[in-house]
Amino acid sequence: MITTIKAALRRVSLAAVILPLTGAIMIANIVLVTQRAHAAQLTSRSLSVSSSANGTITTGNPGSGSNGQKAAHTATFTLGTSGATVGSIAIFYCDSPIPQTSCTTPTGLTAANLTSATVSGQTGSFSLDTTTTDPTVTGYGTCNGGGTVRTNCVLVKAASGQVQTGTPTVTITYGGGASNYITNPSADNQTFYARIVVFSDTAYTTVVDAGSVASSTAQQIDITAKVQETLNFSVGSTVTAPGTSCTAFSDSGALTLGDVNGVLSFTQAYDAFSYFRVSTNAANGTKVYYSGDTLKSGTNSITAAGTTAVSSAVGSSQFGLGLDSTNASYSFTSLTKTAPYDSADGTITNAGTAKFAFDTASITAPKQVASSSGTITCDTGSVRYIGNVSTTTPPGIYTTTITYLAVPTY
Amino acid sequence: MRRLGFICVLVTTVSVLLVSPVVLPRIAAADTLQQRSLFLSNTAPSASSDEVFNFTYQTAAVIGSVSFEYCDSPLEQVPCVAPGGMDASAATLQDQSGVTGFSMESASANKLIIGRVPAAIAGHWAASYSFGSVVNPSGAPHSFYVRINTYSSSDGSGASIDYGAVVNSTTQSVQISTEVPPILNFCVGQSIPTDCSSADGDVVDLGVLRSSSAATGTSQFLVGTNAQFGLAVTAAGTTMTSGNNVIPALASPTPSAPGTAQFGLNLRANTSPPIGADPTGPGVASPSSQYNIVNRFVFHPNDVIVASSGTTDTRKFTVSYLANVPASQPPGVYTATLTYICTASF
Repeated sequence: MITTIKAALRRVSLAAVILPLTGAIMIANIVLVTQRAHAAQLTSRSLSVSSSANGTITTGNPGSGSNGQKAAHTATFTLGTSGATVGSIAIFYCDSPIPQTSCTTPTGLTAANLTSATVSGQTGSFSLDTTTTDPTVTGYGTCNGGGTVRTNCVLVKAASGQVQTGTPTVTITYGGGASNYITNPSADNQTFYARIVVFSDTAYTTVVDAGSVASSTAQQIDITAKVQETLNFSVGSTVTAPGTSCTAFSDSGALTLGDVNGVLSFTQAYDAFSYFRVSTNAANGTKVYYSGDTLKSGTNSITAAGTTAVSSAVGSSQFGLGLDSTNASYSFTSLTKTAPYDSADGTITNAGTAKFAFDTASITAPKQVASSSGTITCDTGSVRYIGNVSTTTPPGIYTTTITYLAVPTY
Repeated sequence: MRRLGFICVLVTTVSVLLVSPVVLPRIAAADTLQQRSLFLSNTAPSASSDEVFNFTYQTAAVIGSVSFEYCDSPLEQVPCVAPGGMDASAATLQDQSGVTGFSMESASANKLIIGRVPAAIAGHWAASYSFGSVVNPSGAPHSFYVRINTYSSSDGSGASIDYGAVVNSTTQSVQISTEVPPILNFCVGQSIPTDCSSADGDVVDLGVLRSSSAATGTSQFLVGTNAQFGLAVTAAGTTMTSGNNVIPALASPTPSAPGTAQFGLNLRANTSPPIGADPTGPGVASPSSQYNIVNRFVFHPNDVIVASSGTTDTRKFTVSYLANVPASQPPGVYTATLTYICTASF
């Protein structure tokens, strides 16, 4: 019988070594089937570990999947003997599940830092035993390390033997805290075993039921990825919806300012809109600037509105710009407007509520119109331009090119 | 159990295949430059731009050179492919701050190296480097990256100390065009309180003509133009008549002389008789000399009474009309129709 079991266990051990690469939970719940000659078999046995990381890994919080040094273990089993009296339970951590063979503590594993255990499912109250002198249970193992710092075993007991009803399923949970934990074996992909022994007395003497379970540490997969610096910045004069991918503008950028024929008037102000759209993962903010000259026709020019926001002055030569937050396409979530280009909402009748500015010094020193303090998911700015002329503004075709710049800081 | 073992091996193999493609090579031991940014003075494709790099050195080390490499990817593990049209070969180092003492070591189409005599710096030094005459990538607007490396050597050789990438983008510019049309702002009325929209009336009633006193009246016109070569306003019409009877027009600027047959006009504020007003408004158009004498009146049909030699903003003129008659003037209703014509020369 023993020979057969060993052969089976070798195959299962192979599975236990390979499976860790597919997931810790699968590995932690591998159940070995063993039999013992002098005690009934615990059934439905398992040992669940909070982490399959080896005992040197502390990447995550105690009790998490990436902390093998401060792990939690949960042993679950169903008593094999119906109506048994249970006074104590011992869990021996060994390099072999086979009773009657020596129990060598898996390298690096230690239960010395356990301060409590939770036992449920059975009749009677059981708790972590830190007082009993290290017992030796013939055929299963010897606790070592001392009463409060046992390195290779976990003992729980009741005040006295407790008569159980039927065959209850018992769950024992311990560790997973910052100062109450069990440390996994120190090597990757190392199989280790727990021999669970149930006693009728509180001195770990009379065995009622027993069974073994297996678990394993597993190699942690280190996945590295790099998110590169991104900036999607586009400018256009025809609005398109950003969609889910923050679609860039792709038109020619041509814009006509004036009536249907692109003609300005000394009796009426005209406006027009262009747009910019930006998304970036720059964590330290982004600034948006404009650069350009006022409208010019040869040596003639339309007067720039200047560096202070002013209202429309119908009948005067005037060219300016500002951000209009009432435009249907305007959508600032992360960006904020920058004065004096922050008040182009409203009317453009003479002395209207909308205000504009334009600094021709932007040709060599671009001027900021908006900024953010962090990343930008997808913001769209609507820039409103105003054009007024006086009766003396020389006739002609006036043009200018305005360039917008985005400067993200990573 | 053999079948189980085979399944486990198969599952393991599949898992490894799934995981492996996303595992990237580890980055070299360089620290990351912080507060990195790239400012372009001109983002138009193929434009010559000034560029300002800002970043903070992280490592306390001997620094002898810094390289700026323009690529289509910021990842140092990925081979650098120069953005199309990118040309930094004529770049010049214009300014530097923070960690200084650099000069241009080399400049190629997509890589700049500045070098200095190697010297130690403390960590966390903010620095700025400005380059001129860098030609942006060509083609449709798109992002491009600059990989920045610092070195102990003075020529960009050896292992990188700190590394960081920045990104910027060429963009479409906004081309605004508009037209200013030829403008002639001209209107006539019995009165024009503000602008042409307020012009009102077309009849001037001089009342009953008497030999003992002058009869007077006024009308107004407003004029302005962006005509490069100015404008001229003429007064067309005839003197006052009643059938075959005429009040003769004054042939030269003449004072009012009640009891004498006179018809004339001018464009000034007169005192004898007290009638009229001087021109008002920001324009530069002015009355012709004969019509610009206070208390002197004249009328020649088709005379230019107001002119400007160039553009003129709006200006309002008040025309004062004078009529005197002798006691022998035949009775009747005397009328005259004057038509003001403004001609602008663009």
